[in-house]
Formats: sequence, structure tokens, C-alpha cells
Amino acid sequence: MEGIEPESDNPRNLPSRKEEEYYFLTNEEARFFSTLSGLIVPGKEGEPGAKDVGGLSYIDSALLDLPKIVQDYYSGAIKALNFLSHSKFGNRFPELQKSEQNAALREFFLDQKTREMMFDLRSIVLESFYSDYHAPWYEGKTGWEFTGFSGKRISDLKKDWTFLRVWKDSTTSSAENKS
Amino acid sequence: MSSKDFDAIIVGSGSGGGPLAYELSKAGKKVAIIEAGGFYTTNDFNRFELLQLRKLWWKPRWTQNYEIGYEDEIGLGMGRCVGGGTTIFTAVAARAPEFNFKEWHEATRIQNENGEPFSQEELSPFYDSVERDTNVRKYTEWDDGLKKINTGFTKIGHPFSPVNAFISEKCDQSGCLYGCPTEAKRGTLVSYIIPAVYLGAQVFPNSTVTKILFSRENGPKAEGVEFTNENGEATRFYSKIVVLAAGAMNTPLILLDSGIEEIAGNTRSVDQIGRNFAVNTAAIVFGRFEEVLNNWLIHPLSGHVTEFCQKEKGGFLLEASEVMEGPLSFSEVIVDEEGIPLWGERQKQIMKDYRHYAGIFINIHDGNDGRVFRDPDTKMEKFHKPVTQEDKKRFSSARVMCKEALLAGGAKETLDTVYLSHHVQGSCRMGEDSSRSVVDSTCESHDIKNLYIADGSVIPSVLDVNPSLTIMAFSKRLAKYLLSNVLNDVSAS
Repeated sequence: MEGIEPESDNPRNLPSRKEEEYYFLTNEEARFFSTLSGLIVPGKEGEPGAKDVGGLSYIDSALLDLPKIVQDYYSGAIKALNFLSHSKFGNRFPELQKSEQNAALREFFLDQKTREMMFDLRSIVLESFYSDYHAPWYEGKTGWEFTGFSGKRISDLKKDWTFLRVWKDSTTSSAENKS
Repeated sequence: MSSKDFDAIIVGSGSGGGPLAYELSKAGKKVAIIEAGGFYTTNDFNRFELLQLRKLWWKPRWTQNYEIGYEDEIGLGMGRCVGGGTTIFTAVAARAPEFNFKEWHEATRIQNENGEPFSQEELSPFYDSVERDTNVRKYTEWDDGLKKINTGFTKIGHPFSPVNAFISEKCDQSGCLYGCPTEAKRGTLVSYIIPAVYLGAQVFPNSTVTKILFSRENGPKAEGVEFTNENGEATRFYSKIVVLAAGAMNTPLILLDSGIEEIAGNTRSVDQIGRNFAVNTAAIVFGRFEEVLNNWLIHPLSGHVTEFCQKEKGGFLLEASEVMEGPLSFSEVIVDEEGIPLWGERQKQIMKDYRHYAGIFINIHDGNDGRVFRDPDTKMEKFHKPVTQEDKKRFSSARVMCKEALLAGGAKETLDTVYLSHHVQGSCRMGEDSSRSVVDSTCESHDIKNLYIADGSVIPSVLDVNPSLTIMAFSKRLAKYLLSNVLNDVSAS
């Protein structure tokens, strides 16, 4: 599901989609979000992270459904942060060292002109994990299991993910890509 | 037979629109309710946090205070569905304290029908009426988180007391912020809008008002609205009166987008549109306890400390307990010691302990020093609401107290959040002084006949308690005025 090594950029040729391609994200954007996901919700042995649960497919689908003005905002935010990374740290965000990436995030949050963008990018990555999203092929621990979020009207909740065109509900084991 | 489509068009269905729609419909008036959000009902509400956030909430809109030289921003989270904020609120039903009424009169010269300063006594019958309609009662079924918090606050001499809440005894404590799945929460959706529909009101959901329609005959008047309906079609409805109840962030924008300056001239009251914006700037202090609390299984704000509400006594209201009802929202708001949103390993460790957190909501008495407007160049909506040094002092005092009490109650560590708000108000104030208000004491525009405002915009100066009950009471008051003085002829229907 990584699919982030660009042979050529993936322009918005919607809605066809192959396993390693995206509905919406260009390869550059996918590379950015993949890096960001690893920083915001990192995974480690025995503890899933956003990338482990297939969060990139969530981000891709979620962005697809947004109005064009908001899609452009996210695309613009990624371009702006890559540009700032390059001018301040000498490389685009995904190509920085991990310590530099964390330093860049901190700068983006402190700079009033990038704070809102950074908050929104962080939010969509948090959604890709703490919403309990997981890709159809993923069978490990999810965000809600990780946090222990459960109880009446929660544990038996059938989450309908069809609005993401990804799959239908949390008890379905096979993909229902509706491309 | 009137040529109008409706007696009243009401834009918005929350605290302001709901009671008014019901009262006018009950009196046989033909009412259209135009709502930007979707029409969801009890069966649609569940604990799927992500989906409900999308369905029922506006995407958080942020202030742009950096543009006016302030460093902190506020996330403004509002309801966007039939029932508005009352579908997703925590249902605290608080009457405005007497000192707020005095501040209101000082702010805009709001008065009663005899020309006297508007008082608590004036609004009391309308408060009584709303409380009856919405099953307001004391909420005493406290959760473990609040009990622990109260232990700490009692030790430091400021015990919590139960809030009044728009919640019937049917509450099974299965959530408020994503819609109530039991109808125990008596927001405007169940208390007013659905009854109004049974009485003949028509609801137009997923419909965005683009402008108010005016006529110039015998002076400027509102005569209807133009809106984009749920099929994306531009539509016009005409009516005897137009009531804006779209909330303090949207109502001024609708007025400005309608070209009110062009029709009314550059009057002092037109210049007031969007100014004096206040938000009860808020933040939460969470405490991590050793015990598993599962604090999301609650009615979120069941207790409060009100002794510091008044600005001279500290200017902050404390309510508990709060843990955002889901891990996603919790993960979004938590910050480090410098106020930077958390991420990475540290945030994950906190999230791993989510079951152990309970929090206290701090609402401060901020100033009416914000502004809602549209950027003249980009046409983007803009919200300025400075977090001033005075505001920060109030937060500092409140946070010190909350942290002391949390630790006294057994918390092992505490955690802060970004600034946020759910109590927007003041952007189209009511009063007799037209240089400081947009509508008069009856809620009619100073400049445009038959144009009224019935939401939190009209609150003359910042309210120091949760605003829903007061907005509903003003809505009832407006209904009485309209039925007695404006719509007292034979109905268009």
C-alpha cells in the first residue's frame, strides 16, 4: 500500500485506482503523508501506527471527497511545507532526517502562518488511526483497541466506511473498493 | 391572500431558530426553516466519532489573530445540522446571572417595552417556558471522573454542584457530542423542530442562504432569501419577515454578503455587523488518574463551579468532567507544556492511557473585542478574536486551581489543550444605541424592516454561562413579539 516511489506523478485521473495508486493523492503528496504519518502516529513492535493500519488509503479517500477548494488547500499546504523545509533545512520534508523532520514540525506549529495548515495535516493523520480506521487487509490492533475505547454503543458499533469508497464495515474482511 | 410564500423564513434551526419556528407554527403561521446542515434524527446518532463529526459539525474554523498581532488562535467548533449546536451540545441549561443583564444594558442600552433597562425579570417567563418544553432538571448522576475531580475541588474549598441540563431521566449516558441516541437530550431538534414540522413547518436542510432579498418600497425591507438548495439549485423564497438564526459566525456574514450597506447606507449600525464578537474562550485541563475511568461513558458536563464567573471574581466558569467522548477529538486538542499540539511517541503514550483521563472545561469571561468579516480581496470568511493578556491571566488562575484540585483528587499528572470555543456570540448585538448594536431591543434590524436576528449574535456583552438557554429564551420572546405586533394578521397559509 505504500506506492510512494514516483515513476511519474499521478495527476487527478479519478476515479480509477490500482492497489499501489491513489484516488486523489499525487505521488509527491503520498510521500509527504507517508512520512508525516510515521511521525504523528508512529508504530513499533506490538503497537500499531497510522501506516500499519493502512492510514494512507484513508487520507487518500477522505481528501477525494472534499470540495475542490479544500483539496487545493491541502495540496497547497503540502507544497508550502515542502518549500519551507527546503529553505530552512535544505531538503523537502520527506527527505529530511527524522530529527530534522520533528524540528520542522515544531517550527511549522510555532510559525503563525503555517500553524493552521500543520494542525489540519496532523488532524487528518490522527483521523486515519484514532477514528479506528483500518484497511480491509489489516487484521491487527486498531486505534480504538489501542486506546481501550469501548463500552455500550461502542463495542458493537458497525462502522460504515462506504463514504470513503474503501470498504463497508469493521466486520467485513474483504475489500469492497468501489472504483 | 398574501403573495408571499411564507409568513416567516427562519435561517438556522438551533437555539435561536428552533423555539421561534415552533411558536410561529403553533400559531398557524407558515414557516420555512432553512438549514445549512443535514436533517438527521435519533436513529442516525451513534458513537462513530469520525462520521458524526462530519455529519453534525462544521469543520473547526480557526481565528486568524496573527493578522492583528496576537499570537494565539482559537478553534471554533459548531454544530452544522438540524438542531444546530443543540444537537451536539453538552446540554447545560444555565440562566444568565443578574450581573450579565446589567452589563448588557451598559453595553447597548437594551431595554424592555416600557423603556426601562432590560432585566432578568423580563426574561424569566421565557426561561420558565423553555425549561418546561425541554425537561430541564438538575443532573446529579455524576460519573467517577467528576467524583474524583470534586474530591480535589472540595479539598481546596471550591466544591462542584450539579448543573441544570436539557436532559430527561431517560438519559443512559451514551453520549452527547455526536447526537443523543435516546432523545433524552432535549435540544431543539426533538423539543421544537420536529414538533414544528408536525404543525406544518417546512425544513429545507443542506441549504445555504446566499443573500437576503430586499425591497426599497417605502423604505428598505427584507422580503425573502436566496439560497442554494440541497440539489445545488439557486432558489428564492419570499416571506413577510426574515429571521437570521444561523449563529454568531454565520449571521453577520449573511448580512454582509447580502449587500446590506448598499440598501441601508453606511449607517452606524451597519458598521456594527460582525463586530463585538465574543466566544467565551475555553480550554480544558485533563488529569490522568490511576484508576480506569472510561470517562466517555457519561453526560460530559454534569457539575460546575460558578463562584468565579463574574469578571471581578476571576472571570472563569469551570465545568466537568470532559474527555471529548472519543479518542480522535482528544488526540487533536492536547498540547505540550509550550502549547504546541502533541504528536509522536509522547502523544501515543498519553493515548494509551486515554481510559484514565478526566478533564475540567474552563470558559472565561473574554471581551467583545473580536470581529467576523469577509476578506475584501480573497472573499474568505475571517474570524478575529484576540486572546489578550487579561484573558491569559484568567486562564492562568483557572489552570493553577484545576491542576491543584486534580492532584488533590488523585491525578498523577495534568495535560492542557489548545484554545477552543463553542459559545460564539455578540456579532450583531441588540440594543437601543444604534452606534453599538445591529438590532433593536425587539431583535429587529435598526436599518431594514422585517429583518430580525434570533441567535447568539444578539447577546449585548459576553455571557458568563453556557448561552443556549438564554438564546432560546430570547427566541421565545421574539416569537411573542412577532405574534402580537407583526404577524397578527390572517396567515399567508
